[in-house]
Amino acid sequence: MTRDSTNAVDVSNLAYRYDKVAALNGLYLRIPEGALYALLGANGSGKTTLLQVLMGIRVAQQGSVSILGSDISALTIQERARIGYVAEGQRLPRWMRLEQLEAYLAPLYATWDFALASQLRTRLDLDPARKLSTLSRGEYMKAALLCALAPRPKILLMDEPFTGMDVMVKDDLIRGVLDTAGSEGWTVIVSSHDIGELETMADWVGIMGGGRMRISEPMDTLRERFRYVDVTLGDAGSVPVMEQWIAVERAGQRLSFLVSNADDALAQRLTVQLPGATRVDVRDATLREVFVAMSKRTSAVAS
Amino acid sequence: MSFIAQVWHVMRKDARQVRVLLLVYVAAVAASAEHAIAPTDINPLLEMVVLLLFVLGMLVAAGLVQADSPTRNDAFWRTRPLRPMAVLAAKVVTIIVAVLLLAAVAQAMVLTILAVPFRAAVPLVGNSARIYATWLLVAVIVASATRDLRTFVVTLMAGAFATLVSISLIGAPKFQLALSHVELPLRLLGAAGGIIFVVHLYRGHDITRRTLLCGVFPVIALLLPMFAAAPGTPESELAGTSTAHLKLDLEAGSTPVRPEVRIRVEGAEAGKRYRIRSGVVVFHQHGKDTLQIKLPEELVELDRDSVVNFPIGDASRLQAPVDSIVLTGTLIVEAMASGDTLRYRQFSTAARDGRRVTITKVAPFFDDALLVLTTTRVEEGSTPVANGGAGDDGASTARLVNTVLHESIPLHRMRGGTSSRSILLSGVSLSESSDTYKAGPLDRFSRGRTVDAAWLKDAYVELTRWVLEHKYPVHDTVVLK
Repeated sequence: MTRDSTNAVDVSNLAYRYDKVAALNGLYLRIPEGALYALLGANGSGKTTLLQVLMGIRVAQQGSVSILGSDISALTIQERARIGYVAEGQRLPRWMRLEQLEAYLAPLYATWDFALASQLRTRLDLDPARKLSTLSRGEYMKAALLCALAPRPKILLMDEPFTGMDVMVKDDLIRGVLDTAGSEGWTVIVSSHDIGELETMADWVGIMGGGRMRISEPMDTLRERFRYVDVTLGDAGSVPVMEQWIAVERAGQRLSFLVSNADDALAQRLTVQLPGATRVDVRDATLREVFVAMSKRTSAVAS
Repeated sequence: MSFIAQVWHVMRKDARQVRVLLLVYVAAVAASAEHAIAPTDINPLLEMVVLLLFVLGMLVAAGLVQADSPTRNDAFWRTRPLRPMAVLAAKVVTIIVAVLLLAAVAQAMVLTILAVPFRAAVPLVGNSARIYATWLLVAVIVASATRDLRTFVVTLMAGAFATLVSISLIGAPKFQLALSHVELPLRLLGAAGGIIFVVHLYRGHDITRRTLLCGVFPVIALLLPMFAAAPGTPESELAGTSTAHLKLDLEAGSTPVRPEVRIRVEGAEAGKRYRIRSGVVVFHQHGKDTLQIKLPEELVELDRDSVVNFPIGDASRLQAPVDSIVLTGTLIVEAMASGDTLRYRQFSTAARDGRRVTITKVAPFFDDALLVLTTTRVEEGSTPVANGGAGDDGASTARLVNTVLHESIPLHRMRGGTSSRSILLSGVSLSESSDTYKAGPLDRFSRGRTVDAAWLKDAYVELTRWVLEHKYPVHDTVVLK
């Protein structure tokens, strides 16, 4: 694999183990610059570890990782300053007031944008005089986001930033990220269990399973590629399951599954393949349906 | 931001973060300094301030390290463009300046107030700072390997408990002597290992439990030398001492009691004074239990054969026939200086070496002949945990001398007591001894002479005492006011 300089992230054969548990196992990933990348995966699929490796908090035990064209182990302080990081449960210095935290961080970044910080503070409705220890969970994450965005990072890593937030706060955060990062052409990688939110904001999606990327492609391509099929059978007899059907589920006379790389003639073919079917509905799969299907497939392979 | 700028930036943040703890620490330094120079009786409660200072110093060091923990993967600083070595340097510089130097400077000021000459004060402060720095390095190592202050405190307490248990095992004189031979290499190894360990944690990632446990080794290497015997201590191995050296008073019956053991101290000079700091004699009794006797600490003068007689005490019960008992043992012997004669004028004198002597009571000297001599002395010694009485090392003769008439009155020590307190940091203490003397008769050349105020006007107190050779130098002259 050759390294592409237009990729914000280029990961090859990445492996990372916690004692006997392999969190990442030969992972390959390329994320183009400017992408809003949704990183999905079941619990324990390795999302957090991957983001921590990208942030430099953990060191890859195998493989290579490059960020913005530079090998992560050789990043200079200036290059590290171009990476922003927000994570659920991230430890901010809680004894500081928000304005103190900003004052502490600003000199560390040559690109710190005071005007942007001020805008975000207003937009996210944050009081600079409040101590971080007095902030609610949502406000705390907003503060973390402000501190990650104000340095105008070229790449922003967000690990479960919306966990436990109410809809209003989540909306504020997503808008904050989208408006700022989108208009500046920053690369944003966000992992979350909130697939619905990610579907609206991301233009790329990656689904992890078993320490590897199962899918990594533009959201549009993904939507076009996967079709959700809902079949109503005339009787409850056995049905031949095709190899290309993914996550087949049967409940009584209803049969549902996903098909990858389907063409327009899929419905017609299915009518022939399933002569007992009274109805065959084919539509674009949602991200949630693709994610669930891929996760089931991964766990089936693992078991 | 340059490396230096980052160090300064993190230092300012750290100072703000631990400011409350730092203020308490500064207050403790001030209280300790005041306690050291205050002309009050030594108060055990106030002595706790010194211990508090020590504990606070370690807590400040731990707080600073854990403000940017090297072991936590969720530490804030790891997600920011901060150089790990700049973060560590900021901690080290803050600890040195705000904790170590502050206390050392305060101690130096106290020593100056106590009239300790500069040349004597420098090594004293240096020694104190070295001991304190060792403990601060231990604190930094433990704090680096623990996740928060609570874990730090629990780990330290567990370590202290383990140390207490270990002392009973390694506190044996033989072990102390063995340690004294490797004291310096151990210290250097511990310091180097500790620094490498902490640097590794800050520079590294994914710190495993196994790596954290490696921190135990430098801590042990740093702390073990504190159990070592005093430097320059000659040792005497008594393995195989013949039973001929064992002299026993036999009571009626078969059980010998009140035995006295004669021990030849090899390598010691006959006629010289020594202090037996600690010693153990083991009686191997054929067919009976082995008996281990700890020798009392005392000042002894060796005879021509370099032999010391030790009464073993009533508690000992030797069961085997005397001829079948074999002695082995270890002594820690400290040589004393040949003598230190001090001359004190009445009421007020000040010595160049920092000793302060006050004759607090003279009358009714000539009726009942009582004199109380209070001596305050700055000396090396004491540990952060226990401040043992470090008063006189053994006064021998005291006289009241009239220089004009060449007459003298011998003074007999009736009673006395010593106590000491640390001067801010361990390693330097202020010892105070108070001795009450009773005057004897005038010497034979002066019999019949009336000792009155006029006689006393030209008189001084001459006190000869024995001091440890390796201790803080004692001068034999004083400057009279």
